[in-house]
Amino acid sequence: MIARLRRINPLTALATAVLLVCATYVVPAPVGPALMLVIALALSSASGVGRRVAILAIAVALPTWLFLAVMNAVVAPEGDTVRLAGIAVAPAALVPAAWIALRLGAAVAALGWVVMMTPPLRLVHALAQRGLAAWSQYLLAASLAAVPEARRRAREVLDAQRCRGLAVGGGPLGRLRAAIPLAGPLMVSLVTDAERHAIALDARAFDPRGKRTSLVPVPDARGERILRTALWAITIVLVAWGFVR
Amino acid sequence: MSAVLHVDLKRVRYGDRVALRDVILEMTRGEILGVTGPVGSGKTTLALACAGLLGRSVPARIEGVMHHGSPTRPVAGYVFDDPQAQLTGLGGTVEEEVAVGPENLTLPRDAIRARVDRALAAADATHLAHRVPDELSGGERQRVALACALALEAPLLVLDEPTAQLDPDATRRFGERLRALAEAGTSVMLVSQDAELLRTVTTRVLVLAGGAPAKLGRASDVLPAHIESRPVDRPPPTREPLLQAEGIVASYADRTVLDDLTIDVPRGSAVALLGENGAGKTTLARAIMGLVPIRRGEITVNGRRIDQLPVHERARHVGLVFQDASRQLFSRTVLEEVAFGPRALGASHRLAQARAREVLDAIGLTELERVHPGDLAPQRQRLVAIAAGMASNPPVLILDEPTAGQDPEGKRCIAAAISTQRTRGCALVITHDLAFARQACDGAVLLSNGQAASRVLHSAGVLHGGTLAM
Repeated sequence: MIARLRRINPLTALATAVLLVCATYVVPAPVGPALMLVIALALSSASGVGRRVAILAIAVALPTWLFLAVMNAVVAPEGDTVRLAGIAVAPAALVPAAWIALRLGAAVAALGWVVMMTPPLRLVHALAQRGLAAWSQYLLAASLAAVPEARRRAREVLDAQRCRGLAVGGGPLGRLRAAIPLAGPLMVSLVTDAERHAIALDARAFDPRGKRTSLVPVPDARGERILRTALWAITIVLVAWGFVR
Repeated sequence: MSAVLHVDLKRVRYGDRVALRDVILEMTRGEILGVTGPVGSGKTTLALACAGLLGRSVPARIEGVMHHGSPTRPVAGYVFDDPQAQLTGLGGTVEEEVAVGPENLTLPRDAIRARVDRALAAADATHLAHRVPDELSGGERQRVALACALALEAPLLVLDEPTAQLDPDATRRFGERLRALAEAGTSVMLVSQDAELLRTVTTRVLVLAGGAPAKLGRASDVLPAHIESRPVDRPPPTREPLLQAEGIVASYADRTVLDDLTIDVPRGSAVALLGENGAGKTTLARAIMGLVPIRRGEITVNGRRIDQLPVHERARHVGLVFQDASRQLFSRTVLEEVAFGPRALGASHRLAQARAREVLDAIGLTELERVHPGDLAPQRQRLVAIAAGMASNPPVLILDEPTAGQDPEGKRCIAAAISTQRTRGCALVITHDLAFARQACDGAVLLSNGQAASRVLHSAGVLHGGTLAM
């Protein structure tokens, strides 16, 4: 099952995720977002990335709910309030905050499934096969690789600093302290790397306005193309219904 | 013979700085032209110009004429002096990275496949096809860089220090392949500090000095005569082991890189660590420093186990200079860079700067102390990294490929640094440069498949004449 899901065309996965995100916001809470969250997590689990996607969704949804709950129920309470430890709290405000967080969690889970299951370059190759311009392909590849690249460069700078005796303490405070001498060199090296990439591309006959072909074929079966058309059609209908509802 | 390249450059400027002047040059089909000269003499600038990159992605002002025989792009395949710079990030595996050029030329899939296979075979890198580029060793990455350039199948190949990180056997095979390419009609510009390689493969050699041509002719006429390097007379090292690594096992994912490796380096000595690309030399250095976890084994310095210590505490015992020094430098000036270690280990600002100046003076870099490390040539960056590694006065200093691409002056500075380190403790020098190893080190350990295959000392007369006799 995992292998089969990972073999699907990335554009099909992307169309599914976009439909889930739209449904999350259009179908009323809590049923809509909860159902989409379950579907996204089920797809993630079946693709072998369930745990990572769940952690990502919780990491986004929980702080969002806490922030909104504090803002709406405690800092600026609206409606009936009760006093807890001498502080006025509006319990009714907790529910909308939960629905917003649930929607965000479901959307993040749907997109996280695509990002974590699909190697970035497979998505780029799939788009190249659909005629995406060379410059857009590079921009997309660079954007998708930006976070892992920044993480790799941060690790290199941090290793260099640790090798010279910089203690990197545990805990959030220790990590924050370590991040201060890291930030400047990291930014400089990322800019330098971007310049290097531009020269490397030029040296490899890259024409930003042109097209590219691809060594790696990304299978796109007829059944998948039909499914994708259906997914996009449902998404459009759903969004339209959201507007007229 | 038809001209593949005609160059008549009056001046090339980066901002206000003139990097190259008065170069008149013509290359014919199938010619291998060598380009050599000291660091900063304009070799890379000439190479970038001939590859058609200068004034495009590399900003520069060019006065003069540059005419390529081929009217269509790509006019040349180019190999960077830093093989990491060759990677575009558009390939998830080596073969996908090599395919980027042919993909940009919008070739059909079958043609791309054929070119990738040919390029990988010609670069001796077929076995790397399915590896992830970021996980390759320096030498392996250099082969991939060559394959990337070859895959364009341009009439001109411009190679900037393409063998700096290759082992001697791979360099010899590289020379043979270069000759085969030239016989098939490809013209090659080979920028190199490797006089032996230039002697054996080139048709002519251009020597640059101070940004202008100094000599142009046959290698035998323009290069200095080969001088057999000999070990410098120095007191013999003690037998007291300072660095000991015993039974080291380390792996990346499911690939065992170090397999029950044992090595020791006596106090007062410098030991060269030799071995073919991918043998595990860099992994051993990183394992000693704590950057690669070991699954089994013990590492001691001065009789004290360090393998349980975190990296920043090992820095008191071991200094490591990375293979790619540019990725080890992060400060705004050379002085700050070199003073960072002593500061991190608790020295006052004043003391750290004093120590940094002392080391910079010993290596001959005093005039660079206010310069941004990123503005230096890669060879000079490596010298700064060595100074930074020595500034904390660690008893063990590990240098990973310090002489790659260095000119004779740079090698002299590194030999001086190793000599100084010998008086403070010991040095472990990872290198493919056997002549340098013979000159600067007391002995050598040959690594093969993650194990120390043999150990040799000069006193036994076995590290001799550019080959390791066993």
